[in-house]
Amino acid sequence: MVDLDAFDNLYGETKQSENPFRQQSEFEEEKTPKILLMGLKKSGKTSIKHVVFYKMPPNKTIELESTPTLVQSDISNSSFIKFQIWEFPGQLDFFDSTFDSIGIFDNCQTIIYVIDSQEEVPESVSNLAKTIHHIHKNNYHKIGNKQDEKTIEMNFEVFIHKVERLTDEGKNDLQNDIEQRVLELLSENNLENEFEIRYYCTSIYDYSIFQAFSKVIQRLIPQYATLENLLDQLVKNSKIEKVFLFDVLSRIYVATDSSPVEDDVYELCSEFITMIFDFSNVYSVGKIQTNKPIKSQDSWISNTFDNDINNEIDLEIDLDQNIQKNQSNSNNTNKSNKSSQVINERNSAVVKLQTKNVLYFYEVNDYLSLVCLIPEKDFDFQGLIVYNFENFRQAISQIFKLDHINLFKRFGSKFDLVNREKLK
Amino acid sequence: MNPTKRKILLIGRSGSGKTSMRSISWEFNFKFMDCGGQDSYLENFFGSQRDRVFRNVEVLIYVFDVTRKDTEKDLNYLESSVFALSEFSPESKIFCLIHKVDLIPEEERENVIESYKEEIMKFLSKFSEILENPLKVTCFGTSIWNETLFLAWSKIVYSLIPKIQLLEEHLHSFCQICDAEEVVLFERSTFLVISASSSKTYQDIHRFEKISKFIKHFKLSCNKAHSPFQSMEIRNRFFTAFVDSFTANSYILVIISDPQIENAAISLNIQVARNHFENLVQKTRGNDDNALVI
Ligand SMILES: Nc1nc2c(ncn2[C@@H]2O[C@H](COP(=O)(O)OP(=O)(O)OP(=O)(O)O)[C@@H](O)[C@H]2O)c(=O)[nH]1
Ligand SMILES: Nc1nc2c(ncn2[C@@H]2O[C@H](COP(=O)(O)OP(=O)(O)O)[C@@H](O)[C@H]2O)c(=O)[nH]1
Ligand SMILES: [Mg+2]
Repeated sequence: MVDLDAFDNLYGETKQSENPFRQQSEFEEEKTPKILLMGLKKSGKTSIKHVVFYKMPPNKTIELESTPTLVQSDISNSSFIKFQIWEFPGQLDFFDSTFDSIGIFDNCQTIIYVIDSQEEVPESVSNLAKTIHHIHKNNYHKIGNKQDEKTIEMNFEVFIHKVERLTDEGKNDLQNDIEQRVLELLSENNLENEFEIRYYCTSIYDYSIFQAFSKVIQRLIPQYATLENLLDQLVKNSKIEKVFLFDVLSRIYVATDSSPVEDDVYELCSEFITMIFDFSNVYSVGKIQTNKPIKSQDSWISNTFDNDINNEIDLEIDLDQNIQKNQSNSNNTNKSNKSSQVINERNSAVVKLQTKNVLYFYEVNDYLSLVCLIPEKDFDFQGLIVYNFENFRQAISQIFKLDHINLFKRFGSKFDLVNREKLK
Repeated sequence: MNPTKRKILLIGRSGSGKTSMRSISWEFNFKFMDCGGQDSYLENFFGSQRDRVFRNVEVLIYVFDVTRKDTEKDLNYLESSVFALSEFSPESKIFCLIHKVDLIPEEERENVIESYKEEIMKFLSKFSEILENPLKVTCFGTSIWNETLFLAWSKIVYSLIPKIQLLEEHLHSFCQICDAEEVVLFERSTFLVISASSSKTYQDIHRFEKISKFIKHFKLSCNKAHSPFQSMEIRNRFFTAFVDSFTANSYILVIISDPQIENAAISLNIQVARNHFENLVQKTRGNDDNALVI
């Protein structure tokens, strides 16, 4: 049995029973961005939230009850990325004029609209169009300082949900139909060119929901282009086939290089992390020092960015020395050795596959890890890869300078990679 | 090695849990006969097909449903099996699984299993004088809902390995030579524990079952992505773990907690041990053709 109250306590979910539309001041102050989950009742909103962020097994969602009021969840304990998810109850009629919707859309960067592909699709689609119209009419989609006109546009994401039984072709057809229909409805109010809506076919019974949520989150990260660029450099210099920067608690990928994502590869990388964590927990029992903060399921990871920032680690590591140090565990105390010491302490894992590929896991901090797929022949020079990953890690710690991504922060960074050609 | 020679028979009445047990108990890499449980079907096994079924049996597993009170019929089937085995596979071992113990309230469980065991053993003891070879029977209380089934199957696999004591001694010295915290051998396809050696005591007595489950699950994911698993290395501040294929039918897990020990050194040790164990296995294979070869 899943005890939902325990979930709520654990992850700090706030249920508002009196006035569902009053802003919570604690959230307001922090200005953490907000994702609003909308959709008809029973479309799967609560399930999505619990499966992705609270690790609920998909078949347990059958026991979830309909959500009667607006529910706000602060996701910062189960993810690197700080944001709130507000679930708008499907039961409530939001066009009812007695109903005060001011505040709901404040600071709302993303709306995820969930359409149940198995039930009432036309109703759901027309409700979506009505919602968009309402938002446009009230100018809710412009977020930020309206006087300065420094506004950003709200993201519209549509999850065509519960598609696990459809073939790829079936999903495509359904998505085309829905996109077409939404455009038609929006054009009735001349809104067809106003919004760029993205569509995803999802199901909690496979990885599609994690992939869709990954893309939703990526759009919220202002530094995404830089992250992707850094990962592209990493791929090029270390001859990597595919790399993901994972939010390890949610298994969402915060960034990836610009090559296309294959479902199989993402799934395997995600399972890899799960296995590492499960495995590590078994053999870390009884070894955990009590003075360290321990997170319930991932106690084995200890290093955070904070260490690095305090220690001011020199980014210019002397490569030759460093690689040597990696191989011989000598105990000098000069600067470059200190850096290699850090390298050795990072949690890592390697899986060799019979396809002559290697899966490599490299911890970035408490919340983030790199997972990549590399041909075995290019992995034999592991020192180089570790060196590049370590530099990447330090570069992104400069970017974020925090243990959580602050979605509104800007940054500058320097990043230094080597490849084999440079080494020679 | 002749593949037709190794066979596990899984027998029990309809509904006793054989099919669900098999899907949880991992595919064995040798011949596995799940005899249908319907009475008419069972009659056949002891009738016309008797010699085909009971020849070359390595192990017979009889599944009792602990919630069924009419054990008479089960005991009759067991009796027929015992006689058929003594005729066609006199060296075979018998395991009785007293299954679905999760349905017995926890405080009574121990007693119920014990009295069930007694009933079976008492019943079988009647035949010990008639039979030529001594009966080798072991009973376990099991359930698909907890670790008991894993433990029972691990013991069954263990019993199938020839010269297991010798193997364990070698594993133990390997553990010491490597300065390992723990070394575990897993059967390749089922990932059941064959043998283990530890240099410290662990609180978590169910860790083998967990590790086995995690790795098996991950191996399936690898297969699904069309990139079968080969080996693995995990390194964190508490330990370094190696999982690698070992002899032809086994995987080895080595846990090292001393951070001074180099990965390369451990890999090398595993390589050396692999050859050593392979030789050991070759030797035992010669005189014991029927056995499960690791
Ligand atoms: N087949 C299938 N069922 C799903 C999926 N996601 C959710 N469900 C089921 O859909 C039902 C409704 O899910 P909820 O999460 O309660 O829906 P909701 O949108 O929160 O509904 P309200 O709170 O009433 O607005 C549950 O029985 C879920 O098990 C999916 O991907 N596939
Ligand atoms: N409570 C409980 N039920 C079990 C257990 N093992 C199997 N069952 C149930 O027993 C029923 C019959 O199992 P099945 O495997 O089809 O039996 P078979 O006819 O011997 O193959 C199914 O409903 C199973 O879910 C167990 O350990 N505990
Ligand atoms: Mg709900």
